[in-house]
Amino acid sequence: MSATLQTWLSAFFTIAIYTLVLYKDNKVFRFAETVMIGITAANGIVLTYHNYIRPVVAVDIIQQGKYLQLIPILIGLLMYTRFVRSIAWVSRIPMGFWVGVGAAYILTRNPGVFISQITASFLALNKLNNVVFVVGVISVVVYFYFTVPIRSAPMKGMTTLGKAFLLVSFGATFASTVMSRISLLLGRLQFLLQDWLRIAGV
Amino acid sequence: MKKTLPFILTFVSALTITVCVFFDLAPALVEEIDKWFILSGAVVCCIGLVNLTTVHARNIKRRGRDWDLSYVLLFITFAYLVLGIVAGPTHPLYAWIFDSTAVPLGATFYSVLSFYIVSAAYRAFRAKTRDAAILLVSGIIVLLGNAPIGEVIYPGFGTATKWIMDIANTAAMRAVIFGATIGSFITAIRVFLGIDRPYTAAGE
Amino acid sequence: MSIWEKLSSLDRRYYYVVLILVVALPIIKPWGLPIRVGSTTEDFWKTVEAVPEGGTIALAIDYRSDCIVELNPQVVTLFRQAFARNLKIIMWSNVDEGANVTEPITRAVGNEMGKTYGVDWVNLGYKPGGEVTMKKMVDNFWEGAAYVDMQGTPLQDLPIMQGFSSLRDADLLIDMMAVVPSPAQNYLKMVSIAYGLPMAIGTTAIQAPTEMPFYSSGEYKGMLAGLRGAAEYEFLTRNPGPAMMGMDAQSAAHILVIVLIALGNIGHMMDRKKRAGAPIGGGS
Repeated sequence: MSATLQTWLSAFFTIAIYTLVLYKDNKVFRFAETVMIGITAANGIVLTYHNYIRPVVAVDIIQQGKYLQLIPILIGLLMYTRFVRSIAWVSRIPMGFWVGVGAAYILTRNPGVFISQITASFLALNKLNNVVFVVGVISVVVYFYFTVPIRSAPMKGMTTLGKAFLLVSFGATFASTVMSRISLLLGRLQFLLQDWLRIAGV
Repeated sequence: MKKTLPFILTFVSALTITVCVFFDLAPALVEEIDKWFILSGAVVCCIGLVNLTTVHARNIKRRGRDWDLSYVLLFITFAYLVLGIVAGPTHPLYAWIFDSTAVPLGATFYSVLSFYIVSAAYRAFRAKTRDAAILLVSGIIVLLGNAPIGEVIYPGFGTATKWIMDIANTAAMRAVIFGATIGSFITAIRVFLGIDRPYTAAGE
Repeated sequence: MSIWEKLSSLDRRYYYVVLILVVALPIIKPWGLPIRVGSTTEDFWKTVEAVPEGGTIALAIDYRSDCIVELNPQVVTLFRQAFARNLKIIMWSNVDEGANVTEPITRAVGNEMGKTYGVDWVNLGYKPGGEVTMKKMVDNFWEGAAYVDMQGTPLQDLPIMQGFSSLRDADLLIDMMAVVPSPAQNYLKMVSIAYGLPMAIGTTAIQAPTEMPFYSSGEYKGMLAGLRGAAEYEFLTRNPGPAMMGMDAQSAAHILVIVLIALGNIGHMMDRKKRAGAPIGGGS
């Protein structure tokens, strides 16, 4: 189908969303929102079906005769009982299974990441930046220590320092957020000016 | 039954995987449980659709707000779903519709936040306290250091940004990771032992 | 009414129009500001360069259409760098839309560089299951990938998949991600740290600060952060694209935000001064 039509459709939907901020909440915006929800909801199912469920059923169950694989399908289907009030509790069964598996992988695999981060924090204190880094890590850990009230002056000083480190970090996150959001606007304006209106060089 | 059965499933699956992975036992059993986890999760893909259909069918029936758009939503969703199931996700028409709608809409939706950021920059980002001042100064340095113009104005902005990201930010984030990891570990143990039962909220 | 009060009470849409103009003008007429390559990007580039010729990159695509502006240029440039060195790429997505948004752009690069789908690269589509699927791809890649690519072609019909039975067969794992919780940290947990597979990431500017500790500790061998990271990567590989072209507009917008923050704070200080000087009970 025509690339030109695609460009015009994309431009229409882009402008439709911007009418929310440049004008006010309106039907065109809500139509665009509706289209997005519909397409996204359908796409998730289509991809899951074609890229996972169908081939697994075809290969594992039909070709290789692994009929035990029907059990997880049935377990998953139990989730749909939540739409029937009288048997909604049955949906806890798959939830229980998933939560158990998730908890097991937290217990067995998270320590690897945790230990690697602790190891990386043991820096040689022969450079100013290393000293600042280690003090920063310790002070923020102290800041998050809520088990007993902190009363001594050195500990209070550490929490103040920890808060300062966190604020600097939040400042960096704030700047990164601004950067990301501006990038998104930039991308849409590049599309409108370069691909649609063709008033800017590509 | 309503609470015990899910807990037994949680306990058995968690215990089996934990023991087998820690002691490197019965890898085939763990692989089978993994497969069950993935497959049982995949068949839940339609749950959002069922919910969406229920909510919008009710809206149409009650002639609620934008009930006409509820019709549009159900039509688009099911038409695109049928097309995708019959033709597949790489069919040219399916891909064309996706690239003409979901891609520009998704990209534009989140860009709207840039407008609010600019508006808030004047009205809300005030250095009213010392803490707010630290945050703002750090933010402004990183804003300048992350854009090429910052280093044109003053080359030190790039160096300062690198210091903030590599030293101050990384130190703070690493401590946050410590806290989050310990927290997730403790939550997992509580779930394992049945002290926390997050799944009991389902169906209430 | 002072100028500061007038600015405060201004209809917010004036700010929006100014922002559009500030971003649009450098797109129409670029300034050509120089781009300095940061260490995170340079390390990413070096990590890809270190993959032996003919080696395989396992590429996880974990972002949706909302982040294509930042992530698509990263993926395109990675394909260009990898194909220029005759590396193979096996990609899949742990996030549904990731498969859709990267299919056309990667195919365009492959066709342009004379590469063959199924031989030089493959898109396996969406593979649900999160971190458990990641582990499954180590234990049995074909089963984790559900035996087919995005189009439904059986893996045994794709030459690139011959002999690739585990993620451990890859020379490098790259995660291009922009969702929370971080799939890259899950890959670290389930694959990279557990099996010693080198890993690098591309992400948005927003997520870069939270991923920095893992780059700093050497878990991530390299990191592309946001559109700036993409622009640096384009510059480094001599593949100018939309990210490099966007850097001038990005600069302009940052300056606008800083100017507005400064004006807002000056206005706030003036207001405070005025109130402090006003007689008791005399001000509103």
